Amino acid sequence: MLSRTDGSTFAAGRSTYLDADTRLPVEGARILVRLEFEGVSVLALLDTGAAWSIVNTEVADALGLFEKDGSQVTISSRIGEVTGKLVRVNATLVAEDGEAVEVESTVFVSRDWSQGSFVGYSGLLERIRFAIDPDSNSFFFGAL
Amino acid sequence: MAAVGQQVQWAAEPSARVLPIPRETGAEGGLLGGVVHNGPRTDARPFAHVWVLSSQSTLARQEDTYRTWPNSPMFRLSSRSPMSLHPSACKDLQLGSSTAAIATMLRDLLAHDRILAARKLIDALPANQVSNAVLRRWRGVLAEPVVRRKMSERTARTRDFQWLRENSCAYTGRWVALADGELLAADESLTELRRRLRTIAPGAKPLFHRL
Repeated sequence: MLSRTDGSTFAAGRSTYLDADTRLPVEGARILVRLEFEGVSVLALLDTGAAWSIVNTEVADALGLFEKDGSQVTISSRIGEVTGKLVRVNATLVAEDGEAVEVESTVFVSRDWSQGSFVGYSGLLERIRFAIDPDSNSFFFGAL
Repeated sequence: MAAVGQQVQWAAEPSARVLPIPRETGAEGGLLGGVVHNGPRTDARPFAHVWVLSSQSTLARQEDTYRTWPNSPMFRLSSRSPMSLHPSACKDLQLGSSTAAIATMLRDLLAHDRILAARKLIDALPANQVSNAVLRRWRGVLAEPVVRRKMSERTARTRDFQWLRENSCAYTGRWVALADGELLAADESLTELRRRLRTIAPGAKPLFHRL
């Protein structure tokens, strides 16, 4: 799928990403990748600057994530400090070509979170190789 | 601080004080943080429970243990000299009952986005302490993600994305379920939308998105 110069595999999966978030009032490229939380397919904003991945509140509610065992934390976010909890959940990066990747990940959920879902670094991307091709809106990924 | 002489249960310690966590640590060691207590020692003097970064953000091996505070002969904090643990301190380890203090420390680290430090702290705790349910949960959520390759259905969403580009404005504030470039259903509630989809039973797995 995507190889290094020595021929070894860098990423074995690819999916197309959406490069706009229609909910935002300003134009500007966003990278919304496909992700499945416990089998529910959603779009999540790729944000390598985010400490944690965040699951939209309604999605978290539908999946029963608020009832899962977790640890309470307060995070700083684009909307200020938000208190919620970290929980362990299965997330799948869905492939259009090649292999999908299932990640037993840690995500943040909060009833006070009014935004969408985010894919952050810690707890999820930190064990994934990934690359972006803006020419074809391709998100390449693979397990480390 | 609890009054000197008062015996304090660590797990119910209401007066635990988290020390400021300095951003800078010396090359040879630095204070990561600590909780000052009175405790069940015979002399009932205040003492501290501290965590030390040895160097390069590596949590020192046994330095996440009990030490006197602040300038006991047992422990003198210096950013320039390596830390050492006095044998008499080891005898007084109270880690088994310091759950609340450790949880406070972990929350403080995470509030400062110091996730790797929090992970090192929880990983450095002895196994018998992490058998505690609260700390076992912390260890679970701070664990590195586990990644597995997976063969799954390969559904292209290009047509669904095109639908989103063309039709989003008409569905602002609502959840939509899409498959094969077509709208299956829309609703203000994701729960209600999923319920409706169960009656429709679409052939393809829907993509959910809130507009």
